[in-house]
Amino acid sequence: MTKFIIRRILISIPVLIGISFLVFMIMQLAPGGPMAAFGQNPRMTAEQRAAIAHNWGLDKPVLEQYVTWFFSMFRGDWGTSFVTRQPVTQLILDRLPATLLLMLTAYIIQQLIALPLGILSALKRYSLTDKVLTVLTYIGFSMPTFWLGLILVYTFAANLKWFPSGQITNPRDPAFNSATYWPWFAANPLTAIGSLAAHLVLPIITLIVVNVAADSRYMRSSMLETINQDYIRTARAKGLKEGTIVRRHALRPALLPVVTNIALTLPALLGGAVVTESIFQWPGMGLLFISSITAADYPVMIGIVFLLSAFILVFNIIADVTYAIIDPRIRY
Amino acid sequence: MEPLLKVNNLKVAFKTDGGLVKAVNDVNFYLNEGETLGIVGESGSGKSVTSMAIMRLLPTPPAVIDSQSEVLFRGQNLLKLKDDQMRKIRGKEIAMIFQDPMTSLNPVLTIGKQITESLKLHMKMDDKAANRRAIELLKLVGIPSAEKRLGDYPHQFSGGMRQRVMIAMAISCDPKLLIADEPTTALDVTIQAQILDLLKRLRQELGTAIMLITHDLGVVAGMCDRIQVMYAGKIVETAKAKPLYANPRMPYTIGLLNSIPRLDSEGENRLIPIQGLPPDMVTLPPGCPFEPRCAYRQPAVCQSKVPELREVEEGHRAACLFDITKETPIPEQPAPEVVATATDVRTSPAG
Repeated sequence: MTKFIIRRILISIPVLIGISFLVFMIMQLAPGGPMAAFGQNPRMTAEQRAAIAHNWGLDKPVLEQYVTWFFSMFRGDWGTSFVTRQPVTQLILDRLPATLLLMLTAYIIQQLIALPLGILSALKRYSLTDKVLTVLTYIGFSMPTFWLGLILVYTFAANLKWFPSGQITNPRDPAFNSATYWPWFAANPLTAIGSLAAHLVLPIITLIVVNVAADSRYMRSSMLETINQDYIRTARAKGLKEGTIVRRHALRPALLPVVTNIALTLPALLGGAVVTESIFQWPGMGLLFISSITAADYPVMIGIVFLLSAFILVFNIIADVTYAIIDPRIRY
Repeated sequence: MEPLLKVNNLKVAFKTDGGLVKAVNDVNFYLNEGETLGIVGESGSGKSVTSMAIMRLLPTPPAVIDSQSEVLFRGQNLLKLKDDQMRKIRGKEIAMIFQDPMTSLNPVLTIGKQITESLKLHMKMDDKAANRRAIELLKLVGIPSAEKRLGDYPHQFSGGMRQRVMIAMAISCDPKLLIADEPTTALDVTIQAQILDLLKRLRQELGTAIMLITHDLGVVAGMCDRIQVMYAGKIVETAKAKPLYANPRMPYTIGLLNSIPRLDSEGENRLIPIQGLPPDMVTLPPGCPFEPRCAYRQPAVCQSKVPELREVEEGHRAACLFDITKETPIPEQPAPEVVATATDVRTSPAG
C-alpha cells in the first residue's frame, strides 16, 4: 500500500507540471493578457505600460515567462495582487477559513442527509416514502442555485428577518479572520458561534439542496444494485435479520462508489462556491476568484486556478487510496 | 416414519407486466431424513423457485405463493411461520448452496467472518469457539491450510474453493436439510466431480438430507436416492435413481436421456434433441404442457387432458396418459409443425 501511494504521488508530479503549463498558457490566451488590468487606465501612457511590462518580464518570450513563473511558484512566491498589492498567498490564506467553514459544514450536513435518505429510498423501493423522496429529489435537482439563494434571502432574510441576508459576521462585530476577530471570538465564544451559525444557515441550504438530491439518488441506485446481489441472498439464507444484512453485508459494498464520488468532489470545499458566495457576500475563495476575474487581477486568478488544480490532483490520490482501503479486491 | 420435508400443492406465480407467470404448478413431494433427492429440469421448469419457496427467500411481491400450499418441515408448515421463526430455520435447520460461487460470497468480508456469522447467530458461539469451528469446517471441506485462509477474502479463492467455502458455511450449523441449487453448474468438469464427491462424503459423515437441483441428469445419477423430473412447473416423473435411468416412463425424461452423449454406447448412436421450446408460463396449454414437443403425442387426447402423476410401477410415477417406455415405437409425426406450434405458444401472449 505504501509503495502504491508513493508511486501514485510520483506519477502526479509530471501531471502537476503539465497542469501548471496549461493554466499559464490559457491565461495568456485571455483577452488583454496580464496587462489587461492596466489597459483601461486612460491616464497611463504607452511608455508607462511598456515600462511595467519590461519590469515584470512580460516582454520576454512566453516560454521563458512560464519557466520563471513556475520556479517562483515553486519557491512560494505567487506574486502580488494588482488590486490590493498584497501577496497572493496572503490573500488566499485570508479567504480559506471562511470558505472551509461554509463548505465543510455544508458538506457534512449534505452527506448526513443524502446518504440515509438514499439508503431508505432503496430499502423501501416503490413504497410511498420512496415515491415522495423521488419527487422531492427531482424538484431539488432542478432547482437553480442562484434562484434558490435569492428566494431564500427574499423570504427568510428580507421578509421574515429570521436570518441575516449575507456576510459572515454582523457589521458591528470585528471582520471575520481579521487581527481583532479571534481575540473577540475567544472573549465571546457563544455570541461569535451563534452569529456564525445564523450567517451559515441560508448559504448552506442554498448549497446543499441540489447536492442532497444528486447524492441521495446516487446512494439509492448503489444500494439497490447491492441489495439484489447473490451474496445478499446468501446472507438471507443464513437466517440473518434484515437490519444485520443491510449493515454488515450491503452497506460497505454500496458505499464503495459513493465514497469515491465523495473524495472526488472534495476539492470543491477549497474552491468555494462562486454563485452562493456571491449571493451571500461570503468572504471566501469563490468571491475572491470572481472579483479577481472582474478586475483582471492575473496573479490572483492564476494562483487560485493552480491551487485548485493541485487540490483536485491530491484528492484523486486520496480517492484511489480510500477505494483500495475499503475494497479488498483492489490491489496495486 | 414421517418425512423430513413434505411439500403439498405448492403453487408459485410471479406478477409481471406480461401477466401472471405460473412458475410452480401444484408440486407435491417428500424427502426423508438423510435421503438425497435430485430435482432435474431445464431452465424455467420451476426447480429453483421450488427451493426458494421452501426457504421463503422469494420476494413477495412479485412472487405469490398459493394459500393452499404447504411446506411441512418436521411437520411444521414453514409458509405459515412468522418471519423471526423462519429465520431460526434458515441456515440452522435448512441451509442452501447456490449456483454461482463467484457472486454468492460477499466480496468485502473475509470468509472467516462469513462462516462464523451463522455460528454466532444460531449456535451462540463466541468469537474464539466460532473461529475454531470455522477452521474445522474448512478442513472438512478440503481447504488446505485452513487457519491461514480464514482472514482471506473471496477473490483470493478459485471457483471450486469458493464453492467449498459456501458448503462449509451451509453445513456449519449441522442442518437437517441441505438444498444445493445447481452447485456445480458454474464450475468446470473436474471441479464438478470434486464438489459432488465432497457432497457425498459430507452426506455420509453428517447424515444430512440433500435436495440436489440440477439440469444435468449426469450429475444426479451417481448421487441421488430418488430423482424427480420437473417440466413447466410440474413434477412429471419420479422414481428411484436406477429405475428412472433404466426405464424412464415419461416422454420428456426419455427425451432428456436420449440427448445425453454416452461414452459406453456401441457404434454410432445419434443424439436426439427434444424439438421446440418449453411452453410460455403465462398461458399454459389446457392439456399436457409437454404435448407440443412430445414425440409420442396424440393431439386429440393430449391437448384436452392434463396428465396427473400416476403410479406406473411400484415407487415409480409418471405424468403421461399413455404407457410409454423407451421401447415404444415413435409414431410418424409431421416434424415442422411441432416446432411451429411450440414457437407460437411461446411468443404469442407475452408481447
